[in-house]
Amino acid sequence: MPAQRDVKPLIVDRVTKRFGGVTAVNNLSLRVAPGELLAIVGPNGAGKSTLFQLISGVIRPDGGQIWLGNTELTGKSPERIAALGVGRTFQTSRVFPGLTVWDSVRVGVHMELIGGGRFGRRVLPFYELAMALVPSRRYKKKLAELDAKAEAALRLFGDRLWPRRLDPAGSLSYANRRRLELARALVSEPIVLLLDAPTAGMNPTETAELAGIIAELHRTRPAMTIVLVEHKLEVVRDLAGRVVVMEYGSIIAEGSPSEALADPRVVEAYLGRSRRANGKVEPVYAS
Amino acid sequence: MLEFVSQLINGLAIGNVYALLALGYTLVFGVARLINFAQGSVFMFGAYIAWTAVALWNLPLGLAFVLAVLCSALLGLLMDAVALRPLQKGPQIAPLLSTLALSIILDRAAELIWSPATRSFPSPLAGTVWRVGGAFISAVDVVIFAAGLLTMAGLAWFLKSTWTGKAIRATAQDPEAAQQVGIDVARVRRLTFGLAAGLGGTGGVLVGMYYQSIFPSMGLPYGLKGFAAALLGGITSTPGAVAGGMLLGIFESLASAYAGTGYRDLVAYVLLMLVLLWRPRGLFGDRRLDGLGGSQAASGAVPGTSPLASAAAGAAAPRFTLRPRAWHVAAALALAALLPLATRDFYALQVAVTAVIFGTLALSLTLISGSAGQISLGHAALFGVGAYTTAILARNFGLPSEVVLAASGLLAAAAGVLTSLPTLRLSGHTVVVATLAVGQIVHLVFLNWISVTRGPMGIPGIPAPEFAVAARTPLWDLSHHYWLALAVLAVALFIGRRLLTSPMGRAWRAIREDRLAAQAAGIPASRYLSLVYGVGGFLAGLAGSLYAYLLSFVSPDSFYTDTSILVLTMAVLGGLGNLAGAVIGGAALASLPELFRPLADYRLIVYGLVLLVCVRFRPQGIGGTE
Amino acid sequence: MPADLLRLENVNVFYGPVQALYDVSLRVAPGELVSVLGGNASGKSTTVKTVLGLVRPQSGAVFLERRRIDGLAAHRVIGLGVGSIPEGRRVFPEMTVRDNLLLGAYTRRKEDHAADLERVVALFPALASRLHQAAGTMSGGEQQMVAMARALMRRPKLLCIDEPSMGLSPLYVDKVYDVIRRLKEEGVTMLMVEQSANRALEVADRAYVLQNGRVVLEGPAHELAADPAVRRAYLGETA
Ligand SMILES: Nc1ncnc2c1ncn2[C@@H]1O[C@H](COP(=O)(O)OP(=O)(O)OP(=O)(O)O)[C@@H](O)[C@H]1O
Ligand SMILES: Nc1ncnc2c1ncn2[C@@H]1O[C@H](COP(=O)(O)OP(=O)(O)OP(=O)(O)O)[C@@H](O)[C@H]1O
Ligand SMILES: [Mg+2]
Ligand SMILES: [Mg+2]
Repeated sequence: MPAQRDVKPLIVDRVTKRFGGVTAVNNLSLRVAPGELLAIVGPNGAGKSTLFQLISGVIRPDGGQIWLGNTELTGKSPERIAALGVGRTFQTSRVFPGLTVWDSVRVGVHMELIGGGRFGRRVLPFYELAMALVPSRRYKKKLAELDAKAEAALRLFGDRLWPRRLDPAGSLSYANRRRLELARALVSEPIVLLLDAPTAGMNPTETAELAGIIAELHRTRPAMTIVLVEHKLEVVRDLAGRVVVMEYGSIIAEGSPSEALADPRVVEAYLGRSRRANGKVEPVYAS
Repeated sequence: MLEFVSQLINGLAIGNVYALLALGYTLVFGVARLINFAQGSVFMFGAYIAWTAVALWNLPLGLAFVLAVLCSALLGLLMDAVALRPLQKGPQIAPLLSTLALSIILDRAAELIWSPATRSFPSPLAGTVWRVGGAFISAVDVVIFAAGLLTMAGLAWFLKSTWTGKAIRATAQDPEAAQQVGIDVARVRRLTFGLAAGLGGTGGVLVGMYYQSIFPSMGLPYGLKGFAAALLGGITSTPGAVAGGMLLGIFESLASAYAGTGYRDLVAYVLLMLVLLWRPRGLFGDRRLDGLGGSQAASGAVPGTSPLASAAAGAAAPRFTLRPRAWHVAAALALAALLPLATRDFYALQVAVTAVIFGTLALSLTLISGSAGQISLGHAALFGVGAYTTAILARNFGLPSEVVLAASGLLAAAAGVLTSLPTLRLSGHTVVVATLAVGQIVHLVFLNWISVTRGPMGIPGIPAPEFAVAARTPLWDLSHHYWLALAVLAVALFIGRRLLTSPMGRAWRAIREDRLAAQAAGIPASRYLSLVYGVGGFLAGLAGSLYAYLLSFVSPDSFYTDTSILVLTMAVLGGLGNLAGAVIGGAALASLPELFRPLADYRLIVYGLVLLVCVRFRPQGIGGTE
Repeated sequence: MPADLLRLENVNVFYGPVQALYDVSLRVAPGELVSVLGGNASGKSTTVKTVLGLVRPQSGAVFLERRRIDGLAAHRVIGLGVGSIPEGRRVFPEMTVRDNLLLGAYTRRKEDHAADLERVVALFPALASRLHQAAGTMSGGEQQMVAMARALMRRPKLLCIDEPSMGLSPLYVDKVYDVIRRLKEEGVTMLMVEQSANRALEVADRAYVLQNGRVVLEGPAHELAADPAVRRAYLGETA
């Protein structure tokens, strides 16, 4: 069970990021309440992934600040931010191709083993060395606990990953690599989970299946904030409590899924004509 | 002031030579992302062809030049056929071994054909000197300068504007996608090799003209300078290569003028390190792509050591990977321990001890370069720190061997951690240059810190090991050395194995596979890189200590970059990241030259051929990459 | 009946010891758009890669216009008039968008392709202002457009597409399908792997459904779309 102190809002305060002539994120402010499931949608190139890169510390903003509760994230390294409680997946999946599936997930629990951030004091490297060479009983028990967590994360996807846990991650099919990445982000029990197009490459059934998993996570881990970037609107409608629509690095609409997606500017910039014509969105799931 | 200006001009001239060499490296390593450790030998070869044409056949210099460039390019094509094409489906790192084998063969062949002696290179331009202001400029300087600029401009244009140039870049960035637009990847690689070899040949002739002397082993020293210059400039950019060459040349000549010739390289490499700390991607390196994805981007412009990051699409994992169980290892060690009972031959035992020591050393490097993916060209420095610590503590202070061994290991570990500091912010090729620089710096410290290390004379008379627990009985006998070395190897195997199967080993491999993704998953990369350099340093230090005890003599020669390259070869031969493989690779490469002693002059050639055959049939290394 | 443009006969593919395709047979007539459907890890991408020569079948044969092409290197297959939009985009990350597009025309480098460049950029106006950006720094969807435009530069007679709509916003999914429709009208033959079955079956002439590396169903797209068994196979329920 997440402790009370792990309940923290994510605050993005007037953040700007420019790449040469392109302003990918433009003076954007956003507050995500603890436990909220927020969806971010927007046309290609709107700056959604860039926002994730900024929050997770992969790149630094040109202006503005990012906070997790009372802790400022701006300028911190990705590993610090991860330890503080931000977990993420990448749009172009970044698994560790040469590691086994099993090891890849266990990388996600590593910070819990060594401490730091929300896991208390970080252990000394010497202690870690000693434990690697001659593990104490307590250490072994801790490892077993963490392995159990990793196993649970893999089993979340039924038979898709668990039976293949000893194969290299690079040999998974495209969509399974994305699932693996999600598992890796989940095991660390992040306070804020950033999902960049998690259902890309999945067919309607599989999309529904993954949406179900996310919904289930949202229910069983009520304190975990989930920010979801997604182009499949059915997923957004099903899952999100609130939708933020971005274009050219700024927020152009915000509200409940039905409100936000009905906004004429959103229809214009994002949904396009076919959806406008009959006012009805084509089903993405097979009925 | 005048002194300064003429040193500057001098530096620019040398710098031009380096720049020319650097361009070849930029093309293969940086742009095409291929590994070619034979580039130095090609350039030696080019110089010798030109020399033969001018001195023996009395051809005019211009013709000789053209001939040398053409022959070098042909040699490049040949190298591609022998060393690259057969390995297409192997790991990206495999050509390190095959090209190194070729360079050994070429260097040795040159000695046989042209004799090992230094030849003076006739240069008709040598006499022409102009006086500009207070400084002198020679015609050779002008020729080299013009050649450098022309080559740079030509290469930049070629890469940017021609179809072939684009194909070379595309192939480097994503060979599988390149095939899908119709690029013949093998042909492109062949062409790159030929072109780079042609550039190397050009450099060789110009170096010959500049220094007016050539020798068969000139590939390594100048090759290293060219490589360092290319890395300094950011390895992927042609103007970078030229700027890097110039800067290195200027550093050097200012250093030799103001700090003394002995410090020339030291100052140059320290400055190199400083520049890299200031600009981790090199002078002209590209930072825009820092946040990009994949193990490719994470390793920068140098091929990754990930077993799956393969040179070819769809390459299957090796069928067999050497993963001995603990009792297999114990049994093998026990069996090995019986050797002194089988032979008392002094020479054989000496070889056996050396083999075990190098097995340990290769193991220590396979942690750093294999598991953590940090290709190191400076490992001999850590080995040397261990050896020198032992020499000094045992000889000057008469400490018992327990203390000496522990101190050697720990000091080398500390040196390892220090090495890792500049590499923390760097990835990919910058690690290579940082380790190269550290290796050079430590070697130069051994050479120049005379009050402690006795400089080039080395430290003789290191007493035999004597353990306090064994009442300090000196272990004179070689079989005792052997058993001691085996015991240390056993410890190293234990440590390596435990660490690699622990979460720490997993963190190392995750960093190797994709450093940024590992960080985003919460792995503090710098902590683990320091740890791996520390552990690797510790084991290398132990090996160094045994080495000092065995020879009872240490000198800087044993701890130069060629040793570093040798150890890397051992680790690659064993299969990067594979402990048992590394031990076998280290032991094999340390003893093979001794086994081939009866072959006399052809010894090294056969050695190179054996390496070539090994990598041809087992590109993943003996044990298989892990 | 016209000769098939592409035909796979009993193709078996292995990755090391693991078999990924079992006796897959498939044909595409000239001008046809054939879609390959199936769940994740069912071997869709492997099928496309086999056609492209990126993986070699252990047994079976692949024919392109009566010419046997299995065992040919990928660049030779491309040289025979095949274009590819690879899975996961695979743009050349450090090259500019313009160079990426031009490389699409690599096999036609001796011909004039300036007009083609304009044509594909007109199809995807979002690329127009980004021609000099490093392709790896483009957003996911923008990269997908680059990959598609790059393949169009080939002017292929057979276009192999692995998930064209992945990562695209609804607006651009429509656009991509417009492009696919137009290509079809222009007579380009296509083999397409697509996850949004509804969209795929709308445009396709025929479709194959893969399950665990085997073709479990095939037929005209409209029939398959109506067939409950297809939905079952496609939905991945065990029958
Ligand atoms: N390093 C960079 N240099 C130049 N432009 C960049 C860089 N990184 C991102 N951009 C640009 O910034 C814009 C925002 O990109 P981002 O990846 O955030 O889009 P996105 O909203 O995630 O789109 P998609 O839905 O297609 O993934 C894009 O137009 C992209 O081309
Ligand atoms: N390089 C490889 N090495 C080993 N196995 C592989 C490799 N590539 C694919 N496979 C395996 O082959 C099977 C088919 O993979 P493929 O990529 O063709 O699936 P797919 O249908 O395209 O799935 P997705 O919808 O996820 O893209 C999978 O089980 C996958 O794990
Ligand atoms: Mg994105
Ligand atoms: Mg696929």
